Amino acid sequence: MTAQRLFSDKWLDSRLLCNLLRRRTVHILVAFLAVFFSLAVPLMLFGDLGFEIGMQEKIERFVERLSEIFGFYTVATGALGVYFGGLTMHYMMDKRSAVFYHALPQKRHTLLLASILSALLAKISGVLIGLCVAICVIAAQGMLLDAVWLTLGIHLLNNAIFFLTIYAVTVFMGSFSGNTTVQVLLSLVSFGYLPIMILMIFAAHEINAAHFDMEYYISAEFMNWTTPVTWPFLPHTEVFPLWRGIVWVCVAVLLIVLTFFIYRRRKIENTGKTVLFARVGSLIKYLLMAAAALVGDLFFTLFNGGFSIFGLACGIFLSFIICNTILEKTPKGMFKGVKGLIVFSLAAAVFFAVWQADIFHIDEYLPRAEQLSYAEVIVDDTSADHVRFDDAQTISALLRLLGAAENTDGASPYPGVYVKAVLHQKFGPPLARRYYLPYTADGMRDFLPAYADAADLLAPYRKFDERIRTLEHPYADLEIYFDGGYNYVGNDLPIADLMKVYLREIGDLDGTRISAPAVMYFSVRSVYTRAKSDGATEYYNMYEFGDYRYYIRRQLPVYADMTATIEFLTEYIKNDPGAKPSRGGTPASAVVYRTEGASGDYPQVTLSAAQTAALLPYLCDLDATPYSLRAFVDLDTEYYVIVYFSETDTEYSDGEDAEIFGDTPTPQTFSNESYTFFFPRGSVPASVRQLFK
Amino acid sequence: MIKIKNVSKYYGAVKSLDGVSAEIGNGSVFGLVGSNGSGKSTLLRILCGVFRPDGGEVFYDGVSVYENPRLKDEILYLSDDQFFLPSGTLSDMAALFAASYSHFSREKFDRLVALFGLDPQRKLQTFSKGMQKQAAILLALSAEPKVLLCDETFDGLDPVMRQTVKKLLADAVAERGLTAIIASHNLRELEDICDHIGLLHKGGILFESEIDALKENIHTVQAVFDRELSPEELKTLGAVNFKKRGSMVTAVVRGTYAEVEAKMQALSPSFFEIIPLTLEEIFISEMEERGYDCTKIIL
Repeated sequence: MTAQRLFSDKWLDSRLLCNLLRRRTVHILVAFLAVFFSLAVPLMLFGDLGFEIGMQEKIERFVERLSEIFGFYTVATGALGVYFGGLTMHYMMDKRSAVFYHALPQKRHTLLLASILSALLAKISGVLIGLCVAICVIAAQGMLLDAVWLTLGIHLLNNAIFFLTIYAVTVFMGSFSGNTTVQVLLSLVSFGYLPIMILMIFAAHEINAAHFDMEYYISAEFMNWTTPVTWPFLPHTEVFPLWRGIVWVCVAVLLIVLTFFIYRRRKIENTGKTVLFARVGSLIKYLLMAAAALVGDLFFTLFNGGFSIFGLACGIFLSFIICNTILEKTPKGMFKGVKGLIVFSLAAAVFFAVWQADIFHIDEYLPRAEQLSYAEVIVDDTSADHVRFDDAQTISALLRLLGAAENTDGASPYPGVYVKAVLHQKFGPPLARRYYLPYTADGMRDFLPAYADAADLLAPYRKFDERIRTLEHPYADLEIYFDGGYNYVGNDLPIADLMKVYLREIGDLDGTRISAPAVMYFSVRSVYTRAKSDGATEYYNMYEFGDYRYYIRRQLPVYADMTATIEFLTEYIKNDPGAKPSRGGTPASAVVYRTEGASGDYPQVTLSAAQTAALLPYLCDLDATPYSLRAFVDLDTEYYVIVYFSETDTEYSDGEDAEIFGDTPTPQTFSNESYTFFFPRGSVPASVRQLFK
Repeated sequence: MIKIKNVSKYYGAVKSLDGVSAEIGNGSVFGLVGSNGSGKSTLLRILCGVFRPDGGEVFYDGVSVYENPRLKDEILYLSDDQFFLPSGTLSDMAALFAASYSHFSREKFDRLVALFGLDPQRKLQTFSKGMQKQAAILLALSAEPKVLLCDETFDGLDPVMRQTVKKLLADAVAERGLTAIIASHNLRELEDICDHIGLLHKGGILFESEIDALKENIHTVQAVFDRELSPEELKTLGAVNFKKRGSMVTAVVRGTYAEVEAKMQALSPSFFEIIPLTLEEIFISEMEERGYDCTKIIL
């Protein structure tokens, strides 16, 4: 529609718009101050970017800090969205002003459009002035460069979409609210209602459902679609998620259009009521009652350990009378609509029985192989992606395995592993489940290597290596699990060099490789880069200047045949004065257990120091394998051994404070340090089996 | 011609207007009287297109007013509870009126500001209640509407200002054929200015008529008879109201002065006097004739 047509149809009355805009000076100031204090002032307070660093690093650090600062501005943008949304609808929230404006010779849509445009123009004007100040500050710091412009542009676009969405939601809430307070409250509730409800509904099911995998359904990606609030906080600095931005803009436009439709039906005489439309009021009441029911339910379950149905009932009843009192604006109306309360309570009881208490054992239901189009599986904590199984035979084997799962929350006496499976049904939603599968489960020892072969378990390590390569001079904080303890090596390890050796040696982390126990692992706790000042010969650890550090924790297994990697790491252990094996003593004794039955009361045999020393070469220290890969190590789970080491330490005769009083320290020997060992499959010596006969 | 056709309005379960019908001619001043809560303000808000009636319709020369900006450009609603822009001055309000009403006359505004002696640059919130009323009236008159809907407009004005406003209204009616509908519960206030009057009670118009016709067609007669009047004689008199104290008879008789005089002469009283009724008295007698206790309807 052309501007001319807009004018001729009186959708837009320029004289009215100009008049409204003329009176928005205060609101322009509000928008300006929000930008000034959340963007320009923090930019002024940037301080020194760090000395002795090159221009490139300076730019990177500036861009990083600019992104951090936009966190403040985003909060301010959200607040401005609510503020200007309230402002837009304010003229219809007060009885006197509503009557006055609606008596003017204007159509309702002309009034609303003028109000929307004047609010948006006021906001844009204030923001533009504030941005000019912010840009001046950046220019004064000499950082008005392409990279900074790009970051600024992306963040501003993000914030514009965020503002528009928050504004549209607030305006939409105003279309059926009777006063500004209710409008703002409803807007704030609506931002969090959907994600919180989804979380609570899933949490309510998870309480009694042993296999329900809530995490699958509430992925960050999914939750980001349920509320606009998370949008600007997502990392958008590299690639702008255009598609999602377009969707949010469409949502905003749709809400504004809906506002126009609802506004046409708005009864001015109802101004001042809490909610103008009785049905909308009821809908809001029941939506809030549903939330309160779940809050009561979960509160009683989590803090009281039971009586969740009582919590559910309390939530419903209390929210019912509170909502009624607010809607009717008098405590006398608190029991209005008791019939609805009864019906809703019955529905909640059905929900409780079917969904939360799972009386029909929905959680245990496993579809048949032919009902599935495919299945996705992930062994917990491997950091790998889901492995997809399409063929019916594998799916059948998987379903048999899942059918043998224990209804336990990790309290099984049998060692095992958590497996997450997503069963994609031909008809119906995907079933995301989490099972605890003991190693002793039928088919388990065939499944795990097959899974490892299919899954790209090395992918996280490759990604890690790629990230490291983007850094100019990367070094790492390092922990090495070796020789029975953590040997901490400082922050001086050239991680890029190590990764070069490591990735060459490890080959493929397939089923064969991974089923053998690792001899050690190294754990990268964080990676930082180092900078070299112009003209200086020494590198500076940028961490000393307080930032430029990537916090990563990654455990990488090292196998016996990876000699170059082991040599690389042991060299660093040697150079670190603080590094020492935590297990310094000799084996004093051991207890061998044989697992039998589910009681946990296993037969055991105690070994002497000599017997223990003789047994050690056969044993596997599972702790040397990173936690995420332990499930794949092919262990004999029938026997395990707890070895006690005697250690020598120095103790003061009179406790910890003895040194102060000059007592002589006395070396003491302890034999209470115990470690659990396993036998790799097929390596249990005959002598051990003999012990239990 | 304003045609109110069977208009109903409900506030939830509460009935405010129940099938109100009336016709108001162009250029007339219509007084809408009724007690508190009788539906006067609701009717005015329907007439200016703010409220949509739940039943019936309001037409101005056959055109519906609701969501009709062209028609609303010629109608101005002067609320009993005035709205002014927050921190706004009279000039700000004038600018808004000028942007909204096509007939707004800046010249008239300046003239009225001078007449009322108000400071156009002073914030309206700092004005007294009476001054705010004056400001609202002068803004309304400056917009030069064809129809002015006044809700308790004279409340809060001092006697001098009240007369000034009445004169201004009368001038507007005379000069440019303004139609005014003035809602009030004060009959004496309306008597001076209105040519038509309607009584709204419990959501319905009980009674509607031209004031002159009302006054011309009903009179009070005070007479002294030297005999007792027979029932037949009383019947020929056609008294709406009849009271006797000794030999003195007081009666409210329907008819023009000449007709009443003729009726009285036919009864040969020793003495008689014909006195015109005040509007309030006419209303009381009319309502009593319809079976209402008017003292409970009009405050």
